[in-house]
Amino acid sequence: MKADREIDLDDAGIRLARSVFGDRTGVALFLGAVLFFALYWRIGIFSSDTYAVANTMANVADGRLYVGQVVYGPPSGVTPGMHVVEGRLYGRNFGMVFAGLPIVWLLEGLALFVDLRIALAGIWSLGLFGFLTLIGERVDLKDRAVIVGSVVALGLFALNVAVARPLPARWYPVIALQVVTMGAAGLTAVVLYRLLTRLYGGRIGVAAGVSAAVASPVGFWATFPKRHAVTAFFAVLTLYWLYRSRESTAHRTSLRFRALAYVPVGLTAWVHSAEGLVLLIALGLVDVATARWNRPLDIVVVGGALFVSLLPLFLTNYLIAGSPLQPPRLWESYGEVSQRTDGTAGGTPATTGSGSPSGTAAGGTATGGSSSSGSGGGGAGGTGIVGRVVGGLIAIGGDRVALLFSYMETSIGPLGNAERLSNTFLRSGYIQGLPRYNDRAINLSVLEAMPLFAGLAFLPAVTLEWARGRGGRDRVHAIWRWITEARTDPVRAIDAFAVIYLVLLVLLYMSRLPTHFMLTVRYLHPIYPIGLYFLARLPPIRRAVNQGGLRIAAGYGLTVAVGVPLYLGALWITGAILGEAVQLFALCSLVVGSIVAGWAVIATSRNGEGWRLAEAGAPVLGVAAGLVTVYLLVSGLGFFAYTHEYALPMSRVVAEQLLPINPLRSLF
Amino acid sequence: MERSQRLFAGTVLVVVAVSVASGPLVGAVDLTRVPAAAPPGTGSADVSVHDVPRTVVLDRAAFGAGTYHLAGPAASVQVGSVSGNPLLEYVIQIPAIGYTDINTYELRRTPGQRLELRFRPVELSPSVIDQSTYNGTIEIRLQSDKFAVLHEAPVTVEVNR
Repeated sequence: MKADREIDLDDAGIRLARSVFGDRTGVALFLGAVLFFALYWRIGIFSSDTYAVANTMANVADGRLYVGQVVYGPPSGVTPGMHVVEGRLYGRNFGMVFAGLPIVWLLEGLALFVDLRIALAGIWSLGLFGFLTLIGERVDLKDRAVIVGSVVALGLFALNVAVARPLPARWYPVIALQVVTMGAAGLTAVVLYRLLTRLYGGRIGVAAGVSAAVASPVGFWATFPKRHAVTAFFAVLTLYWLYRSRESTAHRTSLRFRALAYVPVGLTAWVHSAEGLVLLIALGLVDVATARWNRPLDIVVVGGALFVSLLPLFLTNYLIAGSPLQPPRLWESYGEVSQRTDGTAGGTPATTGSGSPSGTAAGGTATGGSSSSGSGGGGAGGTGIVGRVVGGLIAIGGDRVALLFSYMETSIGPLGNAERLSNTFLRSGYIQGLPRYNDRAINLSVLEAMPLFAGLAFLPAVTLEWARGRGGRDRVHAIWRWITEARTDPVRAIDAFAVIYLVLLVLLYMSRLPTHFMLTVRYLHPIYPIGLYFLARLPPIRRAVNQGGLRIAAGYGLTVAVGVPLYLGALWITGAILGEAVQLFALCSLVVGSIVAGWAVIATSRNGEGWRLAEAGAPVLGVAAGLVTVYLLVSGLGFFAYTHEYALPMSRVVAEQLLPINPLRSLF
Repeated sequence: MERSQRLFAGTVLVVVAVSVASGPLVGAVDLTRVPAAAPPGTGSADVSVHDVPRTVVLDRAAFGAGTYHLAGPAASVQVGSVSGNPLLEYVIQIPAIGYTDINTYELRRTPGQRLELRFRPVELSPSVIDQSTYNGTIEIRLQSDKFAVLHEAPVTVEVNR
């Protein structure tokens, strides 16, 4: 009897693991990604608008939704993103905070038995052991991998223990948030892997997953306790579930995944409601237009899933602001209130992240259009009749959509501004018009942050090729056919979803871009994993990965092996300051990006010669990927090393050794 | 048990044992000690000032980074005997642009050495820099049991566009 139950439990565990990771490769990918992120895991706040989230985490862990005790940042609590409701302080990003809650508890529980610093190093080592074993299994060298794995794991554990320092308990809430973001980033890689494995087989899946973790800004934001890793993960998850729902021809399965696709909407909104709304609009449009079945019952099930996913947000909003559809960013900002009531405004927060005193510029604008919002709140006071409540919700919901659109309208102008577009997407450099004390050129453009993006140069090339052979009417017909095919082709459907989602995301944020402390245009963060999806959609890229995977991997390995010492050496010799350190990478990235673009165009040309040339040049994809890994490591341990609080003791030691290239020498 | 399983169990056991042994419940060993240091700015030190630049430059950042930062010859001091944890501060002030930078050196790390003092490469917005030269002052201060200004002199800041 007992044995049976144990087997069941085991089975349940395996089933759970399978539903999350897919297979062993998915587990290995997740482990590898998180182990990699942990190498440059800095425990800290880094930007002035994260104080509010971290303080919320600390206070929620103490059992209150409001910030009764300011643990981080200026004691007044006047930081961007802090809000006041009925005299109490509230932060935001509650979805992340509640995800972090069990982790804080776990950490506090563990800390009763173990020295948490040692335990973290131990968990990392055991993860490495598991990772090496899984890799060994894949290449049929399991026995040897286990031996090597245990030696390496114990060796690094001993090394970490030898140089360990205490881990102050005040950091536990921040660690919990960072575990959430690292988990989300790791799962982003896993979901991409699973999606593209379904579409194009394991090689493409692995390439996309690995690229997300080590060759894109997903790896950059994995360790920052900010929303980006989480909202990007949810966007990719919706992409995946939407595909599963279109892929299946069985009504039940299709409906199940269709309903699941709406779950990330509510959860995203719980973290950042505007991004949740953007996800909902993109998903809703494409889903209803391309679903095989739109019977009333289907709509009820899908709507029910959406409603349930929104409940946590509604409940939080209701408990705090008294209205389910009044999300944090529409609450009154604490900075504004305190500025109004006393002229002193509590001084400027000490920003560890941007090293600049005035971090408030960005925070304020988030609530820009809030003046029109108060209207809906009271209207919903129904008499308990479901219809009236739902009606009220829809009315306020409509209000919110209108607010979103009025906000997006302000992005239209900037979208016509070539300079702003170019600064955001192509070349960063020094940008005129940033706030005077926040104008360091430390913000990469989208292309600089992920040079692999240049592979998309294939698209205009192939479009030109395609258009050349056709007359005007022919083209219109063909485009129309292409669009209508989205109704039957699952891949076209998610293509459409991804395009609409990214367009709306750009519309949501373009009015504020380029701005300071973006580092990798973090507002548009989901663009990177979704960009990798689009890259994998391109036949020449897939062909290169399938036929020359090993040479691409070699290009990657060589770039990392040579690039890290080269970059460090260049920084040391030139005595580069922070902006120079970032821009040196940006320029290298652009050079490699242009080669990738050239490669993509050549690979597209129809005659076989083009492809033979492209085949030989395929390792450039590995170089583009490796370049970003170099940046992640050198920035994470070198020049963006604002803290001595590395999770892994050995990382701290490396960062200390790299102080000579750390422009501000600010490890303390 | 298979050998691989034994290895796995053994590795887990070592990690768990070390973690628990150093934890508060058992407390057999303290593996996370911090090297003790006296509070910063206390103790004493002999410092003699050798060289302090009369002219420094505001350099434009390379690679299109665009901002300005202080560069130019380093100052040098000779550190003698050191006790406690005294701090040496290298300070530059440029009143016209409201700029002050303090770079701090922990002398306990460098007793008996010749020390080169440099400015932190804080980045200044090009919109702030509108003249070709600025007047400033350089100070070298010793924060020990008592506070002393070892050097104070004007400096010319030349802008390298």
